[in-house]
Amino acid sequence: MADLDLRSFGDKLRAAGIAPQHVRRTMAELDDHYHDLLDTLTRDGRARHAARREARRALGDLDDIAAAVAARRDLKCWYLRCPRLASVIYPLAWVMVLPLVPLIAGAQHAPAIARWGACLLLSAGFTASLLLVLQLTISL
Amino acid sequence: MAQSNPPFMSGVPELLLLRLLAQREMYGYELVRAIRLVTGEAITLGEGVIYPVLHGLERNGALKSRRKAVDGRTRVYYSLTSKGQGRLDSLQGEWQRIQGGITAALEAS
Repeated sequence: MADLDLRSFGDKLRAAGIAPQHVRRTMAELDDHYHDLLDTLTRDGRARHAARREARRALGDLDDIAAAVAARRDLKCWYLRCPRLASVIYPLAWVMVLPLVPLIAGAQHAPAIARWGACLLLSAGFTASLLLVLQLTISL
Repeated sequence: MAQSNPPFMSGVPELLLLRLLAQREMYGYELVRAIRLVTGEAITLGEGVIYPVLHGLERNGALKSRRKAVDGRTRVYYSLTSKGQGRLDSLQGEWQRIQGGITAALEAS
């Protein structure tokens, strides 16, 4: 994608709320299209530099293409297409997920929690054995 | 390459894309070349602008797409659905009605 600044093109689409799958696909298709143009122009005998310039011109201004994509409501993320539905679903989803957060965190950090539990058991056992020794010493 | 003609393009790319895809499946670059060929270069698009139109048509169920590896590139081939055929029939009818009206107006003056 060196010849076209598709990275900033993609950033513009994401900033406009276009769904990630459409951003990725548009970038890939434009890149392919540009290279098809380059191949055709080079085959027709254009010098590489002139072919690049002409391919960019034929493809069109990336800002104009970004504006055309951004203007399409049907390509935006679902929460921008249905903001009222999103304003209901998101709080509900959070209410449902929040009680599960400790469990999810526990599952994600299971080895650390197991080590912590084992250390607690060991220290409790050590303290108990010290107390037992003390108790036995006093009783003797 | 010819200049593009944006003031007259409203709805035209959609009609042309549906018409061409009714014949066979094609990918973006192929479609642009076909448009230039069938219109005798009378209609030339800023080529990259067809992708949002294609994606919108697919999103609305008028087209379906499939990926196919050709010469080391992954092409996205588009084809018409039955819903797209209905949309094409409706757009064609609308376009012919407008064209008839304009022709009548030009002949009257």
